[in-house]
Amino acid sequence: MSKAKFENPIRAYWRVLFDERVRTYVVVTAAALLVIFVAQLMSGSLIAGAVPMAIGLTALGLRWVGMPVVCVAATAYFQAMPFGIPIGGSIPNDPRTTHFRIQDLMLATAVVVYLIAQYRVYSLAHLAVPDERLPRYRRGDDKPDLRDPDLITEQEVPQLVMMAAAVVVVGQLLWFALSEIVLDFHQMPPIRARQPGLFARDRDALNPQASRWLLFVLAFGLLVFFARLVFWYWRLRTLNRVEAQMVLADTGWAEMRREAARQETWRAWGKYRARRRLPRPKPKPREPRKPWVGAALMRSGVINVIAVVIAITMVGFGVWLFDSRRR
Amino acid sequence: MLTSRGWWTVAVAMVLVLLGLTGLGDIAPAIPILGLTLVAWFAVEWLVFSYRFRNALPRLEIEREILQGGRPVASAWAKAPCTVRVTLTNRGASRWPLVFLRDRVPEGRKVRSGSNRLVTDLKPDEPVEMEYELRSSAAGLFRFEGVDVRLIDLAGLFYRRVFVRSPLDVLVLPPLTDQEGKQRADKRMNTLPPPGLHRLRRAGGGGELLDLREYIPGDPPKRIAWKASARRDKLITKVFESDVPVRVMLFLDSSESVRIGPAGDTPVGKLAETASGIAQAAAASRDLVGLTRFDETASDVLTPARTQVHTIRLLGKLAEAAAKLPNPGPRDLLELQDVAYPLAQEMYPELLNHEVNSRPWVLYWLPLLDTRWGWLFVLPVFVWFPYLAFVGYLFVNGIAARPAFQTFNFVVRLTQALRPRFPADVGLNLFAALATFFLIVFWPAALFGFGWFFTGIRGLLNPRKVRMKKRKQLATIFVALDRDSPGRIEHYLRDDESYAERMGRFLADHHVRIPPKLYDHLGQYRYRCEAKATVLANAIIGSVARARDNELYVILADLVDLGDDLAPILKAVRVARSRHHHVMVVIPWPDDVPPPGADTKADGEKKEVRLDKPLSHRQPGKFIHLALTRGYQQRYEKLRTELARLGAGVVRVTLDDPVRAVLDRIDRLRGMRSRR
Repeated sequence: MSKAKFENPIRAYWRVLFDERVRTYVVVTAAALLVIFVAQLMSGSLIAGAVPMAIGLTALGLRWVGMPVVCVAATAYFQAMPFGIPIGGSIPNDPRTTHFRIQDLMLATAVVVYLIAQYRVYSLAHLAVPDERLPRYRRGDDKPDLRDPDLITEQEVPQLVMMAAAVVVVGQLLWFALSEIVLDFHQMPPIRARQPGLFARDRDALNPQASRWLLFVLAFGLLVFFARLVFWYWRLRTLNRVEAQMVLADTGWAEMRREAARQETWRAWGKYRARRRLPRPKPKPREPRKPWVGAALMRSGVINVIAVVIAITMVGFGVWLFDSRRR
Repeated sequence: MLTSRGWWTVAVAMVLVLLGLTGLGDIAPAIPILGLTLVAWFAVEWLVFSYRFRNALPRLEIEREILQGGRPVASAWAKAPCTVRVTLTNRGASRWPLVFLRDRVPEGRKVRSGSNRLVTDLKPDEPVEMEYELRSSAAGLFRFEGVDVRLIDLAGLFYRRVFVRSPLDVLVLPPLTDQEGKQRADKRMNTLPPPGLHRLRRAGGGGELLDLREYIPGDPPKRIAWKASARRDKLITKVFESDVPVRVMLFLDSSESVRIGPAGDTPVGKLAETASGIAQAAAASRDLVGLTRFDETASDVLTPARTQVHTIRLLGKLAEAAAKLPNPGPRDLLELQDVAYPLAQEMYPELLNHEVNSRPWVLYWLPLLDTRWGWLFVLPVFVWFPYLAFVGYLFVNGIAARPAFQTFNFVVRLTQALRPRFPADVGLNLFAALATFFLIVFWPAALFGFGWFFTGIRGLLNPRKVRMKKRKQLATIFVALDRDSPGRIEHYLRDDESYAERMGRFLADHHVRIPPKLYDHLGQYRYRCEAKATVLANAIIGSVARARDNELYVILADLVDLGDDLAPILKAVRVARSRHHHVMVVIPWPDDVPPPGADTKADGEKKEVRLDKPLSHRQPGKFIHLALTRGYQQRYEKLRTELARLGAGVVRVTLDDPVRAVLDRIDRLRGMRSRR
């Protein structure tokens, strides 16, 4: 059986990118990057649009798999500081009169679409499933597990865009809710709507930043907790026989571990003792040892021990002498 | 389970959200909006993935078919392509958009054509198929464990791996001989008794004349030899030879010594193939064939018969013998664990999950008294009360005041010497007083605490921690598989022997071969299996006791290494020969050992290593190999001489010595009395 010809990984990646079945995702990724560029450009800075786009293009073209999240981080950074590092200047403030702005919607949609499309391109052309093998068992010519382009359906891209739009709306609503609800521990329940007006200050309420921070953490924690609870219970309901046996055995072990450990330690010790008492097979006669080797080792050991004791005593005496002179 | 891609994405999204919700959100609201949108997207993907996974996982069904010659079969034939068709069906309600399937091929086998891997999407009630071809060169067993399923979302953020187990053992029967292979040997005699009948020089109902004798009243008149009666003037009766079927009894060695070798290329596989050829050829001639399998402990007998069903059963028994794995013997615990743990990771991924297989940190903490020197730390605690009483006595009587003050003074000076700038204030004096008090009164507890901590903490460091983790996980899996009590887990954690034995059984159950250690710590060959000589001798004598007429005993066994332990077999062969049975011995010959008398010097080899020359330091490997080869050949010659002295022939099974030649020898051993 002849060995498959090894293909350069970058070349193989590009071959898949030019596959007509994958091309849709490539175009969507590039389009999303373009929209990000335009949305960033609307803040009045070329660099704010160019840097994320350049990072995104390297991610797409050079297969730098860590770059998509860097692209997102760069986009966010240039939202806060559109002109890069604010040397000698101040961070521009962007006061809003509304929570819904078309520029934000556009940017968020483009970023989500970009991430989804870029990751799907990686699944098709670079690696779909993480390699569980230890690095020492991997070989350079191993073929990565990729998604077959034949599995791409026609509904995938429209579904992708629809999902992106939906999550953008959810994101906007969440931001609206977090901005307009404040925590007030002087009342029950301890939440209420924020007072209208841009500069209105809610007396007795937590400040808005801390309030929305706490609200998000609480809401997110509750969501994750309940979701985990549901899936945990579902998992318990669908355990197979061996898994259920494992749960019982493991719980039983945790309860009786100390007693069992004591018994088993003594039992193992008894076995060990019993085996030691068995008659041993006669060992083969060995050559007589040279007596001077042991003697030399013994003498050198004794000399070393004496030397160490003397050294410790002298150091102690020196410390004592130094101390007494100082005083 | 999040992939690294998923971890990075959620980390960036959370950072954006948490930064954006602080004052940064007031300056640039797009940041929290972006972060919240990404978190929402991530949460949706997670919920969808988890729902799909949980919904369909318990409803996956596997169907496996083994096809040979286009038909589904329960057992396969060796040396013939065998198609494996695996069908996976999702009976759940949700669709898995991207699944990587891999059918685990039997250990040591390779896929000849097709593929045991498939990348697909699993839609509800729409089965997917994998088809590939296997081929086995020898009899044995195909052990199919199940299908490895890796599920991932399209963006590659979440990933799950499960192993859908559906174990199936398929016997690989020895190859069927073709019409040519069934021919016993060249035709040598022109007497043609009916198939399955052979002449026996005893009075019977055969067609060949054996003798003439005087008529005895009651003899059938048709047997009266009229011409002879006329010549002698008295009635003479013809006595015919007996026509009897020949029974061939095969004795197959399935002891540890013949199980060593790579899968599909073991000595027992070769012996089984030879036995199969003999059995099929004998059955084609309508001879009765029986089988006795033996190892170092027991033997089982399949009585001779000639039906087709019997032949198939016999081939099945041969395949079972060929599929046996060697006992790797007392192996190092870590060696076994290094093989067993990856196997468990591959086949029981869900059972290694910490939710069902917990690993509390106290598991790793090493108890102080489990060490040999732990008692040194505990002993002062036992003498604590007498010590306290002694110290109290000293203080009460004013004897200890001076030493206590000196100790206090020493602590103060030591502190100052170590840190010269330390101000000699009230705090220092208080510290010194407390330290002195604790040193005098509580030093056994301090010593015990020191020993307890530094002994225990060692268990939390690698590699000890990793080993203990693996051991606990495997122990719990063993208990769950055996439906054992939870206390057994602790037993496996404490008892190395039981744990190693269970690991060996776990590997054997899944037909994983561990390279055996051929020599023990004294340098003796571990697989001589001298006990099998007695078992084989008993089996031969049992067959002689059950025999009716002259039978043929074919012993397929590795007897070369037995040496002086061969005596019971020689005795049994002598008994068989004294009852006029024929005996033949077939020996599995190692591939790397040239036959005795052959030129050992290879064509490309320039220098010949000679045993009678002094050992060169540059050729120890060749020298040892040659010594072992010569030794093996000499033992074989000795065995052949001893058996030949009793009238039993010895044949080697080698690659160029097919069944046909063996059958030829068997026919010659029959004394040319058969029909060919």
